Amino acid sequence: MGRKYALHAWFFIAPFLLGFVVFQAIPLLYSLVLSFMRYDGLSAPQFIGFKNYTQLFGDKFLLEAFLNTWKIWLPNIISQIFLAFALAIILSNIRLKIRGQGLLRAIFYFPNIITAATIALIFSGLLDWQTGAINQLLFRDNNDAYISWFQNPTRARFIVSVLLTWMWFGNSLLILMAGFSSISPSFYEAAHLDGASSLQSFTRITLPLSRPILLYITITSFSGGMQMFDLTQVIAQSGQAPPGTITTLIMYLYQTAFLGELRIGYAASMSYLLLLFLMLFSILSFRIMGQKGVEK
Amino acid sequence: MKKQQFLLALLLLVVACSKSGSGTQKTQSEPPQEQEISIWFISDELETNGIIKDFNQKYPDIKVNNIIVPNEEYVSKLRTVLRSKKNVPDIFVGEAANVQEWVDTDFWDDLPSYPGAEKIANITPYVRDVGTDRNGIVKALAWQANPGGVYYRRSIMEKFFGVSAPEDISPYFKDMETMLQTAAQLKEKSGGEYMLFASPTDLFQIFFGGKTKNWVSADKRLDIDEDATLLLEAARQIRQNGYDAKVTHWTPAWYNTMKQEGKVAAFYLPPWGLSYLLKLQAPETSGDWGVVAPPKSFFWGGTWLGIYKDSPNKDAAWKFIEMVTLDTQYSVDFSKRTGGFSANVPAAQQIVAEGYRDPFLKDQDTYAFYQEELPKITGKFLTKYDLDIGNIVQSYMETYANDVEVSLEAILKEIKERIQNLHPDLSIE
Repeated sequence: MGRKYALHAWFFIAPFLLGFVVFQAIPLLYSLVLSFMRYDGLSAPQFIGFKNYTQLFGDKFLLEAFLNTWKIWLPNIISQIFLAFALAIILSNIRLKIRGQGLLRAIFYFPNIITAATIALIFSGLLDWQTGAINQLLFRDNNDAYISWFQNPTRARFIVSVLLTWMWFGNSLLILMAGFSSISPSFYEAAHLDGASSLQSFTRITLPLSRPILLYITITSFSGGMQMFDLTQVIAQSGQAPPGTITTLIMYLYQTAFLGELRIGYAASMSYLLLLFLMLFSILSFRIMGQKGVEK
Repeated sequence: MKKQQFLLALLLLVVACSKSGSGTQKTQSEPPQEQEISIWFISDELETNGIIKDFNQKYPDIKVNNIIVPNEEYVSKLRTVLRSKKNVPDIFVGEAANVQEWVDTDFWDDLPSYPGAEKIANITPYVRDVGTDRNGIVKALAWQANPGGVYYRRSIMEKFFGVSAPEDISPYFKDMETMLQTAAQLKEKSGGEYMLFASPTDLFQIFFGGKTKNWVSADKRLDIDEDATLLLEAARQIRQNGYDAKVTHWTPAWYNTMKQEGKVAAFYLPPWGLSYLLKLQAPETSGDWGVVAPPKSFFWGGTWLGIYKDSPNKDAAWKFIEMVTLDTQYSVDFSKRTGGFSANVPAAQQIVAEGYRDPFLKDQDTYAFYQEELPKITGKFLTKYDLDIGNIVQSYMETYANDVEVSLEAILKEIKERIQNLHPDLSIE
């Protein structure tokens, strides 16, 4: 009976397993093999040992892309969590009794359903130096005052951060509100009876018990942030930002694999370095943020 | 249950009938095909310009399977199939910017070996040179020649310079220095309202398609300093002095500068730019344009077709290339129909002899103009690195044009480092 049961289980997971093996596991392993090769997609792959990996550490453009990715992601996640947390607290507050919470949540979530490439195209147009609506609204006919928004590298990265925050804060908001709803109201009642203020309830109950949710948001955002491609690629293609200023890790990986000499093996080693980095960050996040109960 | 079985049987019957019906219609409507060639093209041009239809009329026994592969994916997808040697198209193409990727490889067959190939001598020299490998063997041909010109607005030039005929405008663009002086004069006379350039990028193709030396030497040393310096310094001069409209190419803002209300006096374009940009974007300006020689003759674009070396349908593929490039009468008819300029010299001469007049350019004989420009253009200085070199140099033009704090040395160093990063086999010392 147990064997028959196990057979049924295999049968049910077979479609997913087959898809996973064919479209994810095999390509993952193949990429690992390629990372030890010199391969341009035309001539036969040539085994070169760890040469690709050692080359990574001397690649100044890889470092540039890595720093760009952090410079864009870090301000985004800080502002995103701050904004989502503030809104989640306001919307979850029983005493405030905010009306139309469902509608508000939908409005805040809306930017998340627009594709990143579309947002990049829209804002590339809105922020165009000479013809963008933003400059025309701000400065009317005073063409000399028009700002070339993406020409300054810091400003260009900041704009991308703002766009990412706008796109993802709604998603974080929903997750946080779901997390808040799982906190038992008895904690707050007990704190209120003990004379705790709102701030104390927030710092001693809400914040510690939200750690798992914040950990989840941080890790998933980090994973997504390190793989940022479409938003920055479309903006970069508009030609408004100086070369390399908003080139992210994955953009650089793409350029390495599919432009120029097509260094597919080298690009594969980059992807495994990124994987290692993501794993290390996740472990670090778990250790720092961890699981803690309500502070007494 | 019985009702469900009946409905299922009925559904199957309907499907079976529709399949057999469509099969019957398919057999009845199409003539029997004996051969089939596959072409990978970067756009739907072969269909929209009627080339495939014309070929089917001439060779009804050869079916053309036209597969459109977007330009940005073309090279990577082609490499994949060439590597696997499966589903390789019989004919694949190379754009002017990257045709050298294939010319000096073994993937394209030698064209002089085919019957009727002596007519390759009729192809305009620069087009032939672009498709010729280092051993002097022609590997690919294009049906269009694309000599660049300065397309100017007659009304704007008349208003501020008092002249508008090509022979009177030509001196204003005779060399780079004079062109920049013209830009200064236009700005001064119009109070800054009108500009001679849409963007410093206007000059890029003049340098790219007007190269008089290789950007990569035989020993793989990058040699771009001279050309890049001229281009970057001109870009800065144009931008800092307010000679341009500060728009980005290939954006709605750029197209708007071509329209009736546009304030840009000149555009640096090839023949397809006239057909697919000016005429398409600004039809209301018909009759208000003229074309003169640029300060440095150049070509912009073009698509070269070659036959896959291991194609099982080489003869049929050759018939296609022969028709579109070497058939003089076809080239004449095609050029008249589409407005493009033929790379077939006898065809171009025939059209010029007939006195071609373009009403969009106030009846100027554009073909005679193109014919004059061709001998000044060379296709001998292309390398497979040019596309990436060009893209990187172009990407720095805005930065250097806008930021006067950035030094030329620093920009050139960064440009060369980025080029070397894409092509580690190049030396930048």
